[in-house]
Amino acid sequence: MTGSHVVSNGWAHARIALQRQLVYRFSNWSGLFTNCFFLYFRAYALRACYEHRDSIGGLDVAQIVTYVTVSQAFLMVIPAWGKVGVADSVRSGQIAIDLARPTDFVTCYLGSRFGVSTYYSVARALPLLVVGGLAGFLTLPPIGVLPIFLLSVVLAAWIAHLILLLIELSSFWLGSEQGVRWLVLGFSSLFSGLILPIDFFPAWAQMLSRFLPFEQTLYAPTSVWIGAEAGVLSVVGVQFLWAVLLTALARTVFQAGRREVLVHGG
Amino acid sequence: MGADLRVWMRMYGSMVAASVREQMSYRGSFAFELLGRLTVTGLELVGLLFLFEHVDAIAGWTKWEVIYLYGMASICLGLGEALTTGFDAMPELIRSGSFDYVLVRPLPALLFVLGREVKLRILGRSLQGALAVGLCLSHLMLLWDVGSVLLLVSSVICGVAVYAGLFLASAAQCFWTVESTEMFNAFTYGGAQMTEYPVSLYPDWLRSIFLYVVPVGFVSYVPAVSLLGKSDPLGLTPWGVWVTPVVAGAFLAVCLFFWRLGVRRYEGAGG
Amino acid sequence: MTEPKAIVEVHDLRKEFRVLRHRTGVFGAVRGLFSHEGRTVRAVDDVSFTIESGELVGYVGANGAGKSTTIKILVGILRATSGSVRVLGRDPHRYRRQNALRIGVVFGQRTQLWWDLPPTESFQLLGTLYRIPPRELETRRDELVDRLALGSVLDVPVRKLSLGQRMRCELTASLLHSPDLVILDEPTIGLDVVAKEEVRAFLRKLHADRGTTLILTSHDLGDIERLCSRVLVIDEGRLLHDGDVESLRRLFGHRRILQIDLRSSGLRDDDGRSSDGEARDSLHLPPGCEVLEQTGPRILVEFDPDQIPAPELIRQVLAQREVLDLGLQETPIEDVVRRIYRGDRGSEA
Repeated sequence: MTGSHVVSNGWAHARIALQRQLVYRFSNWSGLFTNCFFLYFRAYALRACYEHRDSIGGLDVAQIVTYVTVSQAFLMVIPAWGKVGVADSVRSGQIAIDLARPTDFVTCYLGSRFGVSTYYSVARALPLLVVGGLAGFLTLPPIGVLPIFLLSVVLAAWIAHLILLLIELSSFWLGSEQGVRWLVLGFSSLFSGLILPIDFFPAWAQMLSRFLPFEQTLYAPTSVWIGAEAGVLSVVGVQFLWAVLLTALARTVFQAGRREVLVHGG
Repeated sequence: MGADLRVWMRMYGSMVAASVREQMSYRGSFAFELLGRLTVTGLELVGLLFLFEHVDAIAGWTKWEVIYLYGMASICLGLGEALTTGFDAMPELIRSGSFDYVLVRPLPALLFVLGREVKLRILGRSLQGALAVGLCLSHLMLLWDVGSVLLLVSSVICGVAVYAGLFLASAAQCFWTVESTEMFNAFTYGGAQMTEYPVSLYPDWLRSIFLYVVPVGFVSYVPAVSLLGKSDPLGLTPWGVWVTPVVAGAFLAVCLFFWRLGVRRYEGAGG
Repeated sequence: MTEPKAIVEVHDLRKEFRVLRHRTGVFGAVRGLFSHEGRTVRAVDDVSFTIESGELVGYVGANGAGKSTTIKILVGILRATSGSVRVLGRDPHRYRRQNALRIGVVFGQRTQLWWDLPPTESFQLLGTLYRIPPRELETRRDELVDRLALGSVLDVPVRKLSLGQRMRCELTASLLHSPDLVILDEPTIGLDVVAKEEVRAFLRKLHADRGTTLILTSHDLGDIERLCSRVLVIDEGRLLHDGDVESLRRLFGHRRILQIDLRSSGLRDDDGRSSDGEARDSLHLPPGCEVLEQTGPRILVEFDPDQIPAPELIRQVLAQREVLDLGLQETPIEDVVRRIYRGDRGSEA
């Protein structure tokens, strides 16, 4: 398959998934409602920590509420949780049919997942940024940072979807991936900076975080928005390396799973 | 009526026992999932500890006091969730029409739906919460007397009642629409997230919702203030302590009424 | 306890539904929650009947005629709009739970079994629910499993069973508590011929051995003809007929349909004529037959088996035409209803 073919194939999957999601239903309104509550809870709780001090872990109060808004807004775009259907199709045997398709599995997967992310950028991220802005939580970054921020979101979504895929691929060997799913959710909600910005972590935990992929999902773009210490370009560079690494890993694991199916039967 | 209730509870009990037996037959994946869920709540707690490396108190509540709040929220949400996993099947029961079978059973529809499945692995959250509460109570070296034990126990019961009520209301909603709605998550999981910290730190309008409309905040904050001997800027104690069971009971009653309304709607409508 | 002889008494039963106008979109759905615009549909319209202990009654009608609504009222799921209903001597809606202990229900297209568990587990659970002593449960279950030949599927999760196997498990589940009244809503729907016959044979034996009162809805006249001693016909909510099967048979003339698929091309091509037209012109049918419909090479012939037995008719057709396939069908319930409306008394005279 040629490179342009791969891209157009991925794009077709993205378009279909996007169309499917674009039916803006009641469930999305109620999801948005829920996200808004979480946004307020987190913002007020962390703001309360600044009662007697101006800076925690190098972040001031304006930065922290912006951090909460941006991370909450992009939570669904860069998901840490969710079924992507691979484990179900392994269990049902449908995977044998997917394997027989001539298209590249990981590319098609990423294509359709990017469709989902694009939908949530419009349906969740934008409204939540507006809500955060109206609530006075949001400080905008310098205009020049925005393109880098968007690039960082794309890379973060890429990595997040690969993590979800890897979780489900574990069902090739484990039967049920539920245990792995929860285990990963635990680590990702702490080390993606969802609970607290990683800047608040003690030095040893920050060091540990650097060796985990989760920091590259929600935390990386959010830190770009609020002005990353390390410099925005290096953040995106590190993300890119992780994305390449994880893509290769996903392909390898998928091939191994495929052999598993071929040997033992679907 | 009392005899009926005893019979119903026995039926419910045997359904739960069967559901537990079923889960135990896959012991490996059960243990793995329990472990996974423990990790989630465990690392949430680690997050709290990281935060308290930087601050001494949040809204006047110290580290161990906030851990107490966090632990109680986990216990109550976890138990409320575990008791009501049977509701997960509601959209499917309504959509497929199999709810008809629920209504031809010799025990109340609510108990039958609840008894169909009780997922023990969800208890991971409660276990973790109980551990947190235990640790912080021993650390704070509270003066233990009958009164505070009673307060603690009733606080758990009230909290579970409110969360169970919310899950009940969200199941009852299926009688009107089976479309999945996350709206109730704002109050269940959102409520637990909110009451991880003292409710006094939230803005008025938000706090009022969680004190007086969906009293997740009320049943968390008021007993905690009283048990830990905190000063209360909201003026809800000490009278609130006596009202807490009433608040929880009334909320659960409203949710039960909503369910009843849903069942009546189903009984009036065609298949 | 003195048992009332009438197990089911229905007088002037009426059930109306409000059908709300369907709205689309989010705002439509939200508005739908508050407004009560809509029209009233009468699903059951002044229906009266009495069923005595030990009867085997068929309740037939086209889809949407009001069968299921009546059934749901009898088991207490739905409230009647007006009229009186007594089942086992009690108001079925008010005493739903008490009646549940003595009624067995099967809803054809739904399941009461725990989807992920093997049927034995479901039976065990239902046994506890219905307060059946363990010994009795075991005997009863073994008896039913034996009669329905379920031995091999007892330990297979329900989701893996075929429809026929599942229906037999549903029957077992509904009969474990030895109900006095058994109500079956479309018990043969979706089943193949063999599975249908198995279910019918089982029900016949159940009725013969235990004298259980059975009410059975179906839109398959075969079920009714082969099982029931009495038939109620309902259409658009109204009871059109209440009598024994013989009288219904007179009504629909005990007619059946032969489906003939002719080999429409390739055979008579040598003389270049259109085979379709010719086939229709020259098919000579014996008396008692009537061509119902002809589409392409397929002909539907309705015939009266009393006048001409099916094998004889088939022999005559085969003698005249090259036939690709043949099929025998029951008269669809819609036709019977149409005949009753027309006052057509078929071969009554």
